[in-house]
Amino acid sequence: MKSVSRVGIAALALFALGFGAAVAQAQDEGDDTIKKKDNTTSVGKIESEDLNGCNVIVSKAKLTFGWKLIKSIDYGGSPEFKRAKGYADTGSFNDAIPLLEDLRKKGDLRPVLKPHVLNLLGASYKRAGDADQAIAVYSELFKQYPKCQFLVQGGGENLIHAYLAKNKAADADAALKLLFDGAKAAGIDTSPLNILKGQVQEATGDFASAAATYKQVFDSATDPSVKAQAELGIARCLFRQKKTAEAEAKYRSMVSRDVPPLVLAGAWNGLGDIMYETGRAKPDADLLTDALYAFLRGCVLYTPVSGEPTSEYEHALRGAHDCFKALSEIETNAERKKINANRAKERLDYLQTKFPGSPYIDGRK
Amino acid sequence: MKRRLIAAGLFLALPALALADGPTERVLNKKDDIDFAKALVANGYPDLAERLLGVVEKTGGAATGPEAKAIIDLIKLDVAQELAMKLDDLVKRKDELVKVLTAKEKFIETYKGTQASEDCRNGLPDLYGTIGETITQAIKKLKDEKVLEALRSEGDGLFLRAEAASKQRIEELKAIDPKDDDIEFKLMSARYNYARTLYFHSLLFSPGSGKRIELCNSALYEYGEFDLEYTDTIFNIYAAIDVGLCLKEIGKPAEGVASIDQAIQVRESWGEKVKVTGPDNKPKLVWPIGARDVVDIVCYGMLQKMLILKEMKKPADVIAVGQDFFDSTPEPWESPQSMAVAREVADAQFASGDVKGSIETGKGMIKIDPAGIGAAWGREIVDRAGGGTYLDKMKTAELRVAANDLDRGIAIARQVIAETAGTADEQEAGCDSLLLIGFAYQKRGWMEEASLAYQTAVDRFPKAKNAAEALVRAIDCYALAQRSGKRKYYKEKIDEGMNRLIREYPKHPRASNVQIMKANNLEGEGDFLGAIEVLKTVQTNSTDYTKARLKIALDYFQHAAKLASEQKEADAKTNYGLAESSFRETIAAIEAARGKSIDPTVQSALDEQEYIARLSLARLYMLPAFGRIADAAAAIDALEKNWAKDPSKGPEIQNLRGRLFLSQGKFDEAEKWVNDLAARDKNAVAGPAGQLARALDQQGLDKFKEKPGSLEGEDLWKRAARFYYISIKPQVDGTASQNAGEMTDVGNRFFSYGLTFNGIPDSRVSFVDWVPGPKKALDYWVKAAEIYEAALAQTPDYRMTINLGRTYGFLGEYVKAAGIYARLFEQEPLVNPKIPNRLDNAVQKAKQELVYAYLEWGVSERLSFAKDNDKSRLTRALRTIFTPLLQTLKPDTSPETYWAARYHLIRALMDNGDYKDAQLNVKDAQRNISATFDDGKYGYKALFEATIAELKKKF
Repeated sequence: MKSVSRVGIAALALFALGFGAAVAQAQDEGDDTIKKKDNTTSVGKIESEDLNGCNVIVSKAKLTFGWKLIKSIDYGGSPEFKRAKGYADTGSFNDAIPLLEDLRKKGDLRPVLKPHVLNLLGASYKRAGDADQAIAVYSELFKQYPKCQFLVQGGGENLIHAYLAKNKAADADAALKLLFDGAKAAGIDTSPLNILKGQVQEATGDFASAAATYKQVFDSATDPSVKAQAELGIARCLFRQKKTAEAEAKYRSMVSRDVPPLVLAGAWNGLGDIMYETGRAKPDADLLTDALYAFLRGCVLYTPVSGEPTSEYEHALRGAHDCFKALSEIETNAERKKINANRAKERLDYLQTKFPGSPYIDGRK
Repeated sequence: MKRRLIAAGLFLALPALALADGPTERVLNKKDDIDFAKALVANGYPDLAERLLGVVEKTGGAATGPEAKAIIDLIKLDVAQELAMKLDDLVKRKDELVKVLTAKEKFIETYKGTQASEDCRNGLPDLYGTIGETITQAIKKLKDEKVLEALRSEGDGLFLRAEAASKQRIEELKAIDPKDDDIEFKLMSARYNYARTLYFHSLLFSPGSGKRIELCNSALYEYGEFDLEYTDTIFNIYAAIDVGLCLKEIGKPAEGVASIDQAIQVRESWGEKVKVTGPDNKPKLVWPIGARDVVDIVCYGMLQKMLILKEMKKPADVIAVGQDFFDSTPEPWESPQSMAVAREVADAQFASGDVKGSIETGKGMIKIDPAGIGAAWGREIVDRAGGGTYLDKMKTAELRVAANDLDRGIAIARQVIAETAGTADEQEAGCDSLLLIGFAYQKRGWMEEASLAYQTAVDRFPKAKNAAEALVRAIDCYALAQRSGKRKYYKEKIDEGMNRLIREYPKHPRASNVQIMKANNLEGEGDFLGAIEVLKTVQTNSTDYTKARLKIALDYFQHAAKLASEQKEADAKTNYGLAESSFRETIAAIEAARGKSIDPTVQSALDEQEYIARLSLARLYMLPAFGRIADAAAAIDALEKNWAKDPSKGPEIQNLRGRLFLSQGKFDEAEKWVNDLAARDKNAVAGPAGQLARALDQQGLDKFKEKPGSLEGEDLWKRAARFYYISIKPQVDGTASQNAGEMTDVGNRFFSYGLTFNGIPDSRVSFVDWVPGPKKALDYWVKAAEIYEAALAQTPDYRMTINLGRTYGFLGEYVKAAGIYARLFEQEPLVNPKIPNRLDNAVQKAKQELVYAYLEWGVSERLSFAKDNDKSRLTRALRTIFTPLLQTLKPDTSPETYWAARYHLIRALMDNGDYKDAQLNVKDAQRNISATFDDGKYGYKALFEATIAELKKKF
């Protein structure tokens, strides 16, 4: 183990051992600690949360913080939830699931944590490869909490992806309709849900409609991250419609801008797809190498954090496998051929082991 | 676990460059490329990171941030360090590591003040530790006292230098006042690193030695000071582990274990153990450690504790610690050191007599990490405990051979042979073992031993699944041995092996090579059906399968052609049919094979095979005897679709297209198609234009035969000339390689067209004394000259040179003509210098055309004088040319040439002003040969009479 890496993790450990103690004290009292993007911290009691933000009482004052302002929240009142989240955060989904199932049944759990439990449980089932259970849990989440913040990202997206992973586009569409209905009934802006609508349309092969949907979101959204997701969707549709040059221009524009990491992963994956297709058809080792590097961005740099959708990560893993495999096939040096073949196998093994329900196990779509 | 093991595996693979070339600028976004490179390193791809950084540097790394250059250099140094670690030779490894150390120390100074420099500095203690460990290992293996002493001394010197530098840095940082958080952190790092360097330094000396204990005590003191100064940091946890190790070194192992336990306690920071269900669906209690890095520290600490307990001869405690780790840690296999923990558990189980437990642990390691270090260690454990099948032992042997531990690999393989003798596994195990032994010898370069091992494998175990492979490898080894020795013995073994391969193992992919060679021999003897029978035995899984299918089709084609030449039309047609279906099968087989690989060599071979198959199919359809000309167009379309732009295949295909039109008699379509093609591709059109030209030429000739002076014939020839020129232009311009025969033919056609379209009678071939008529069509000769000139520049030819001279003569370009003839007779001397006034008899007989050409030279020189007034031309014409001609030729045997020479000699004398001599010469001809000259047979009588009249006026 190197000292360089020790320095790297020191800050984290300091937090865990030192600052963590202060947090634990607040939690023992049942308070929530809200860390904001401006590096300030508010300690109080969250009364409720929805798609717009969280309502919190801080020193008797009732405040509302929009999600855009919040970096993270440490919820008080349930050490079991914290443990379960710890497992999920460290990739121990099989350890997290039983704890979360217990919490799911726990009637006296803080109401504000209940949607979190279902969201985390759904994500854990999905990562553990049990798409049916994930769908059931997410369905329960959105039925009980139609206004919750997981409607679009996290839960909502995972639910739709879970259906799509099982090639159930019609069910995904039906689930999406329920999400729309729930959001409308709750009086919430439904436009971000159109991102998911576009993804369902993509899955059915209707790229023209999907592109139109994304375009509508792009034109109307004010949130830069929603705009970026819509732009990524448009680029994907262009690629599927064989407008490769236009798609590439869009992807290239995105990778040079400050857009969210998962969107960057998607854009690099898109570039990887384009370069891989051309590189394999020729075949051209340079292009395949470039495609490999494009996919590796999503594998090592723009990786999802706990609870975030993993589809781009899975895409990147599969892409890296495909590139290593193709490079192995065209390599004439026996030793290099073997190394690339091994690397390809390792990527696929990893995908199969860590994402047993991934649609990318059978190839890139 | 997998992800981290993957990273470890990739480091092992580092020395070989896995990609053909590095990436290009396309992979950069000039925003976070350095972060990407760092992430690649962190994920076990340092080689890919290095290549990425290469591109970043090429494209101006500064764009990626001020520290970019520093980070790039640091990553490169880390990669160099990893590469050094792969060296088997410990002394060389140490040398390389020392080089890296020196480079890193220099780096720290060069980039002082940057984060990269700080990171590099913090990594130095571990590098020192690695160097120390390498030296220690080398000391254990080496026996030469001088070398040993030198190594110890070098290591000691290195550590002393490091300690001095470390102390100096601590003092510098202490002196800074006030200290911000960054400086405090640097000071803390420096103090921890100093203590750690002392500990590593101690390991250079023998366990229990005074020096080792002294250095450990120093380290303990520094760690104690550190602990007093700092609390609740990650360094305190590591320090507790290091302290434990130091205590063990100074003979206090129990205290050491207690210190490490303090570090392990960090796992309790997240609360009490919680109940979870393990992968085996059994409930277990685990520490809910909420940070992955802390899990790794715990794993490291528990491993160190196990190693101390092992030295204390407490295997039960070792097992207990290992089990505690696996039972109470979330995702235990994810930690990089977990496999080492498992190995220690297995060793302890074995040492305490729990063989079954040891085997189970080993098997668990293989299952968790089937392609990595877990599998390698696990197999050794299982083998040692006698718990594996022969296949497990073979795996171990393979791993040993792969790791270049050849003797051990061979020994294990031999053990497998002995153990499986007389069992049901004897054949397979014996054959596989000998294959591995052969491979090990081959790796060592011992070809004779390798061939013997392979040969033994197939001889002793002929029914084994891999017997054929053994035979093939034996053949390969014999071939390699023969290359250097050229001994008959090897040749016989190769022949014998190849025959045996076809006979006993016809399904082996390599058998097809031999089958194809046999088929080639039969084809050479004209036995196409025999060749087909051999080729049919090539198996579908063979890499030569498509080649064999193509050869079958071609053999049917050739056999049919042979039958056709023997007037067996019906049989021929049957075989043409078989050829057609075979070509179609070949194309289908090639298409199927294409999807199986993108290997460019394979794809290129398939491409060539498909081209030959489709081209042959098109040619087959065009054969009138086959009667399928209607299918030819589609076959040519298919060729055009894939190879129209290929520089060599494209023209070949167009040729075929042209032939198709012509063979169908579609001249108008052919002409239009050639014109269109000419506008698109000047080179591809050449072949078809030539075919069309020849067809039109022939048609014109037919018309002239029917009716001399036919206008229809003239039109056909004019069109033919146009297409001839299109066909030959690429060769004239040098954009296509020349075909000497075609150049001559086309040049001659233009020369002939010139004669025809300028109204020159058929009896005349030379410009000598030609009087131009009213018809003027000089362009044909201009083109003829262009073609001849281009052809002669590459292929000298005396006949063509004569034609060129004549062409210039007809064009009235006498100076050029004279030059051409002069060069010709320099190459082809017609006059023997020893007898200067006579033509060489032998040359005259051998190359009769030269005689008239000699006359043409003289005439050209004479007529050139009229243009440039160069009197030397007249002298040359008179003395060098006409005089020998007239002294050699006789008016009765060569009347035309003789009278022409005589006439022009007189005219030359007149040109020279020698009228008297001219008159004497005329009179001499009249007196001694004929008063009426040629009697008008060749047109010279009138010319002489006009000359006599002209001379009269001169006197």
